[in-house]
Amino acid sequence: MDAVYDLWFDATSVGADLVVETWISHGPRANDNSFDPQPGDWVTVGDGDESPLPARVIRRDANRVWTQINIPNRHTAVA
Amino acid sequence: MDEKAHVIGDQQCCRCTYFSAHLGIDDRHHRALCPARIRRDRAKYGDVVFEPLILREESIPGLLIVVRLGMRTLEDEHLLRSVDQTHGRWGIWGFSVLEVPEGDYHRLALLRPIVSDRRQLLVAEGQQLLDAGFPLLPTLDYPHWTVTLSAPTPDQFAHIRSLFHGPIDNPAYSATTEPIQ
Repeated sequence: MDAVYDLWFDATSVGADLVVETWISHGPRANDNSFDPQPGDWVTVGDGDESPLPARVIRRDANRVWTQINIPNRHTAVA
Repeated sequence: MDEKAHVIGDQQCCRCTYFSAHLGIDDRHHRALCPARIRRDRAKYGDVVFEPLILREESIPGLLIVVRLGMRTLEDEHLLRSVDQTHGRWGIWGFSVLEVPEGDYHRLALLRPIVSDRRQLLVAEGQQLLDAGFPLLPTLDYPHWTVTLSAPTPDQFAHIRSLFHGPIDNPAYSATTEPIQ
């Protein structure tokens, strides 16, 4: 499934808190100099398997961007 | 170094033939290791400082079933990105797998909510990975493990792929997501 998204992510490395580290240089916007995600921004993340997902940037360190994925319509039960 | 341009997909990576000339691997695999590429990325993004590799005090269980999420996740291009990120984080070549607690995929989905969003999985037995020479490290929080490789080469990628079977339908898949428009 080829879809348009901002950052590629490895689904297996997504944490229990749905946070995942991504690299701009690994994604489809690696050569887009206007792409400058900052904490608080919403981006899309994709892995080439499933439809891209929305995610909020929570940390940025140069090429490395940590995002928290939002799974739509997912209601998390919290004790 | 040869001035022939390398083209990866529709992106020109660099202007060298380091990999094909010195390591005998194809263009897709030189992205992580190409000296010119590394220099360019360091100039653009700065040096990466490794994080300490902290292992859980946990031995490998007798029956360890591990999964990779998605059916394309062990393709060369995807695997290379994963091992590249692991190397950038800890300085070792490796990629993430998740243990299936006592074979219970629904429990795995409770521990890692992203699991329920992936339709298909690739599955391997931990002992087979070990027997084939790929150490398993108990990294991050349970049920995360890292499969380590000595180098990110096409031969190693092909070997590790041969140890996984599937894709299988994810027993814990929950279709609740809508594609982004």
